Amino acid sequence: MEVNLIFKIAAIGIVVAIIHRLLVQSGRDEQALMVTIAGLVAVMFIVVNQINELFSVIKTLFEL
Amino acid sequence: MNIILKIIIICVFTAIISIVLKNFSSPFIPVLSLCCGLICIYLLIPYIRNIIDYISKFRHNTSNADSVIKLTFKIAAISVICEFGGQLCCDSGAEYLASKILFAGKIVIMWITIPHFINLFEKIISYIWLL
Repeated sequence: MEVNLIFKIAAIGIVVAIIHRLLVQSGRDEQALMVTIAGLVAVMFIVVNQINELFSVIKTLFEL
Repeated sequence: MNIILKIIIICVFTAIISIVLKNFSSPFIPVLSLCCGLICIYLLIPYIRNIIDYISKFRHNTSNADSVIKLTFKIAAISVICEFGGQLCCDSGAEYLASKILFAGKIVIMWITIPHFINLFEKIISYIWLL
């Protein structure tokens, strides 16, 4: 687990937000929504792995 | 001392990034705070491990208190997970879910401790009958 994760999520967030804005301004609202959801799912994939790792670490740490 | 400085720097940095993302009204802010929480807990794990090792040494010296100390560890783990989840829900603006998580944690802790309570009461009752 490193601080890089925060930068990664921030970068994805900013890029997705910019694409969302561009698509909204060009009148493609549905595609903008789909891009946001795709970005969110990609980030959630990263985060869910980390949460799983955290729970397993806590399990071993507290001898459960 | 280093660890607290690291945590402060990470949290402040995350706050700044989330302010930037707020301008875009991005849905990534709760995920970012979740990651910040994960990193803070990961930084604290060696310290928690030291504390647990210290308590485990004490456990090896005493023979009777083994089950009680194991139970205490279990309760501590449940509390850590529940607090973590509850704070995450609070951060994402769902206080009603946070209270549910904390309530569930309390119920689970109670469910775990009930056999020990029953043992304790039985012991007390047996001592009373001995008198």
